Amino acid sequence: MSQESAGNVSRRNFLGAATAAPVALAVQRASGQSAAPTDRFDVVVAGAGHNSLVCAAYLAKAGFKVVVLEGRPTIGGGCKTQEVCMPGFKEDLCSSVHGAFRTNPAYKELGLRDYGLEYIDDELVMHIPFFDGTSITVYRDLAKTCETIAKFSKKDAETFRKLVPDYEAYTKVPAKDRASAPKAGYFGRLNAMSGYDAACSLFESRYMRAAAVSCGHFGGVAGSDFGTGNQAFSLVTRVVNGRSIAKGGSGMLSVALGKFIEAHHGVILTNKPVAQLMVEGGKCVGVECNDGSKFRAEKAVVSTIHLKHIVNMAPRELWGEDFLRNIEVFKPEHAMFSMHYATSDPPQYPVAGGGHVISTEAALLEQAESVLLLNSYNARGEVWVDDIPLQIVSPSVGDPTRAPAGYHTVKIEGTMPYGLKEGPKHWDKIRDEVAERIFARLRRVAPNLTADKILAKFLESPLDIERMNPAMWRGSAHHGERRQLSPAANYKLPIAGLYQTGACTPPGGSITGYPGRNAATVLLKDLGTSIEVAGAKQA
Amino acid sequence: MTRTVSARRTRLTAALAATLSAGLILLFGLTLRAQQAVPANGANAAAQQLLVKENVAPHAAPEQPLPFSHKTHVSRGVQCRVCHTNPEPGNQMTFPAVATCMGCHKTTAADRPAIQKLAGFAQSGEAIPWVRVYEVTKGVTWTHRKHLQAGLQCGNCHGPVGETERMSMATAVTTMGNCIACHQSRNAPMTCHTCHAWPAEE
Ligand SMILES: Cc1cc2nc3c(=O)[nH]c(=O)nc-3n(C[C@H](O)[C@H](O)[C@H](O)COP(=O)(O)OP(=O)(O)OC[C@H]3O[C@@H](n4cnc5c(N)ncnc54)[C@H](O)[C@@H]3O)c2cc1C
Repeated sequence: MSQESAGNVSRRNFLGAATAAPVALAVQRASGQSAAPTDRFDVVVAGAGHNSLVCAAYLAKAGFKVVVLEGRPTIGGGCKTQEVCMPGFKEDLCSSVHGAFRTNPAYKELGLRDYGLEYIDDELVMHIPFFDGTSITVYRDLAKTCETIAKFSKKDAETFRKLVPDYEAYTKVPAKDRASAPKAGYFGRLNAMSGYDAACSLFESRYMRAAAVSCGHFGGVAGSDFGTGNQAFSLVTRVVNGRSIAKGGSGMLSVALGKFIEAHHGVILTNKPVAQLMVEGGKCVGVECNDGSKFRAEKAVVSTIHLKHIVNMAPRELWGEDFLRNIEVFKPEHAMFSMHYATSDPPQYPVAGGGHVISTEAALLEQAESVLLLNSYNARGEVWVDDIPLQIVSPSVGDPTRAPAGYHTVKIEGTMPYGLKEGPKHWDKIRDEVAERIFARLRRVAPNLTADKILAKFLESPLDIERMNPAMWRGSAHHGERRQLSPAANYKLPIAGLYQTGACTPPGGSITGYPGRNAATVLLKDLGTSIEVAGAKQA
Repeated sequence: MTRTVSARRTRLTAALAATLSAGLILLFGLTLRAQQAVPANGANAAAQQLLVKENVAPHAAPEQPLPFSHKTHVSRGVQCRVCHTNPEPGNQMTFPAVATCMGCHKTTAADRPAIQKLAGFAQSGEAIPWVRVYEVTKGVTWTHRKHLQAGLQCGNCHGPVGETERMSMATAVTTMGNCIACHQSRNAPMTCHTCHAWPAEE
């Protein structure tokens, strides 16, 4: 079987503008891989998000010959860093915080540190400033955090002091055994509530409620829904786990995975949008890209293409009626927007009594009650900026490699309707004005960020996020509504030989790498080996 | 009015740049469009206002195989297009052929070590391994031709190269944020497909 190419299939510098140039060069020299029309591949991976890269990395480590085809010029999907504002300013186009990935065995099993992945954990985790000049600051240090809470309520500070070790003990128990974990009844009850109700049950101060709820909801499911109670524990988990960011940019994870794959004789091609599945005798045997090039897989095809799109890449009868009906009712989530700025100052949040806090991450929300309005605005397709939870990320504060010395990167993100009542394209008309209004909120708590401090900006509306990455269907940062059952929960699609990974599979979106490792687990078993064997193999 | 790349990199400059660019576009928009659609004289600074952001990142000039100075050449009246031809459609400007250099340097400054090194390249038939300073971002469909036809001149995007000794990435012209800002302010086409082939617009 061979990879046939209509045109010239050249191996692109997939790291191109992704992150620091020296790393890109190192990879090229280290691997020297290229794809020739005669190449044979065991596995073809369609799409290069961090999950499919994790999956490809395990397959390559197990000794299978892998090719990864990415539609965009750069790998990484939602885990990508680029200099979109100004040269030297490394902006995380989507994700910045990689908390969960560090708990994934892939981090160690793939030895990603050896491929340049390094994490930074600030002692000051999060700052939550309010318009009236007050604020809560979350540190890894519990006592210090409680001090800032006590300014509002001694009772809340005491609750928080007890909650942190209790919740840590509860969440340490694997999810399947949680029912018998310490205080399972109490935490189970709170988690079943809405985030808003849980925050109100736990804390008396309106500031503490707003802080807890805002940090739990920057995108995805609104904290007004039942079953979102865990959002109220957002400050607790920040003390327990911190908020890791990758040195050099979120994209360094994708770069490290790319290097790993190449070092294990895998091939990564960019500007290769997959347009069709090749199916022979009812089995998926490869893919065809929109430039006509074909890649055949001797053993399997792995997709991270959105389920809504992949069903259009093979005759409908091959999917089966049941599957298609499930895909029809698959729901998007509240979409996200993301605004990037190259600045000459970091946001400086003045604190009561003088001085100011400078932090990698901050959150803005005045009233916890505001999250109760999000579903309504989303359903009506109306933009409301006055008090939606906002996440402010300035990675250059914790990681000076993100910007030239003395300069900074600032990202503001949150949730907005994708389907405006005027239609999604209306975003192109209102994007700049909406961004101005949102920035004005940040400026109220960081007045130093006057217009002259903004060197350049790059704005992504929910529509732009989808345009940049079609897997973020309708602006869904997690590919779809997080609570719905995945139609590909076993990482297999109805066509034989076709596997699925990425945020459409369990446990869903975010930078966790779990859908990638889980899909690799299933596929490696089908290939007669196991994730344990691959994981333990000398890298 | 001319902003130079060597201008102080104060925080104020950024704001000024935005205001100036916007103002200049209004003032000179028509004139620019009416001008010749080929790179003009690098010394003709008045018509070559910088329309993109000046780069604040440390932009050290890369080590080049020869100590070439744009300033020396442009101040003697050499126009950009004499050395940089634009192959259609001009994704990247070309570097001059060694023969072009030798057209003058057979006699001019022929005794200088750098020119002797240049002559060495000419004799061996080897291309001079210039290090490219500005790269078009991968996956972006972009041509010099369209921009020149729209009336832009070299300095509008690259700054006053003719005043510099060693070429460095002095402007942010290759970043998407700058493309968008300029296209927006000039009402230039700006769908995803203007510059990117995939994904297709629904
Ligand atoms: C603004 C924003 C901020 C976020 N912040 C965080 C955060 O701080 N922490 C966190 O954990 N998560 C965050 N997320 C969510 C996170 O980025 C995503 O959930 C995650 O990146 C999904 O990873 P994935 O590997 O499943 O898929 P993706 O990263 O979406 O990758 C899919 C890849 O497949 C490619 N592709 C799609 N179709 C095709 C095709 N037909 N052919 C070829 N290639 C194709 C895409 O181009 C893309 O590269 C954020 C998301 C957004 C939008």
